[in-house]
Amino acid sequence: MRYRMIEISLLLLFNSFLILFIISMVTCGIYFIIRTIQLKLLNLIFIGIGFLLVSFRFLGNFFIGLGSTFEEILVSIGFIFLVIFTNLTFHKDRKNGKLVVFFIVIMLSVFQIILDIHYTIEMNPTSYYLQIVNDLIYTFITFNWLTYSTYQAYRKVKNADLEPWIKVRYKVIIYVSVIMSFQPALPIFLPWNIPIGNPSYLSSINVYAVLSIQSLIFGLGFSIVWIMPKKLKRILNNGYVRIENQDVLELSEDDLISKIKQEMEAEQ
Amino acid sequence: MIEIIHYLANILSTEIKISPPAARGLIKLSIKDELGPFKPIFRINYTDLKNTLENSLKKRLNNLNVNDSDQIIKNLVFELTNNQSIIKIGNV
Repeated sequence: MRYRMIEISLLLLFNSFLILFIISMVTCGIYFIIRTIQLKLLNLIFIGIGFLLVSFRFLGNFFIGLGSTFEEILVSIGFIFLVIFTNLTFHKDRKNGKLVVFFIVIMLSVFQIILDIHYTIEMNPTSYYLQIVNDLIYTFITFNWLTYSTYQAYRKVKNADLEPWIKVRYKVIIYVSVIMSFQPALPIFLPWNIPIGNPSYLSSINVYAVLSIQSLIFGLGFSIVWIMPKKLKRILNNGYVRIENQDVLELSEDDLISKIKQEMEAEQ
Repeated sequence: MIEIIHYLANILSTEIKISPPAARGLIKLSIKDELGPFKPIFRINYTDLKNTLENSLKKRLNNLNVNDSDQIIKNLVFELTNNQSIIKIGNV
């Protein structure tokens, strides 16, 4: 009886992690949409809508019971939007594999929906594990494309004269995206006919624990670095001094051009 | 946006051998030439800045008789494209 109480308490704790994750995703989603309007940065609308769709999926699962296929569609669109965000944020005007990644994720998303429909019609181990493996591959590609792009960008700016809080944002995006990319791996270790979070099975609770902790880290990490309070920015910028030359900044256009000419002549 | 201007100005300053603040001033003047004085700096996007480098800054470098301005602009646009995330991550 006591053991059962501990299990239920743990499940409640992990449920609260997931609820925090959903709240952070909804908050981030709304924040990104507001910032899209304010800053006219098109890339943000995609991650904003993507986050909202993924959180609707969880809300649907918890409260409404939308059905697994409908939930899968929401997640798939959310993931495709995340890839568009990555491409627009890091790869505009660049000739690299961005379109290949985009089409692979679309293909795998469609395949995932088909596998889900197949699984609802015919529940068997093959269908279940196929779905899990496909989910793992396309989640891995989606989030690690963001990880890779952010890491490449971070490598270029880490020694540049930028405010430290921006560099922290890059680093946190890298860490939390890697953590999220492995999320679908765990259900592979669970027998196919045992649902995640079933209190009767310890392995099921363990998988649920890791999933909810991963989600919590991603949700909170992403929210904190994107909706960063000014106080935190000040703390992260502590000790950073930007070399400014007030004399130059206050010059009129003609005086500035003269100064530039003088500096160029002095160098020759 | 301020961050990417700082980043590009540091590169420009080494290319044409002027101080980084003077290079920042030159880029800001070019932005004013290209987009007018009323566009808020936080509303300037990647395409605006790319056009600024390719048009107005190039003109200003030519007026200053900078050698090889084409190559300098090419390098700056390359750096902007590779580091576009500074605008889209650092500006939010």
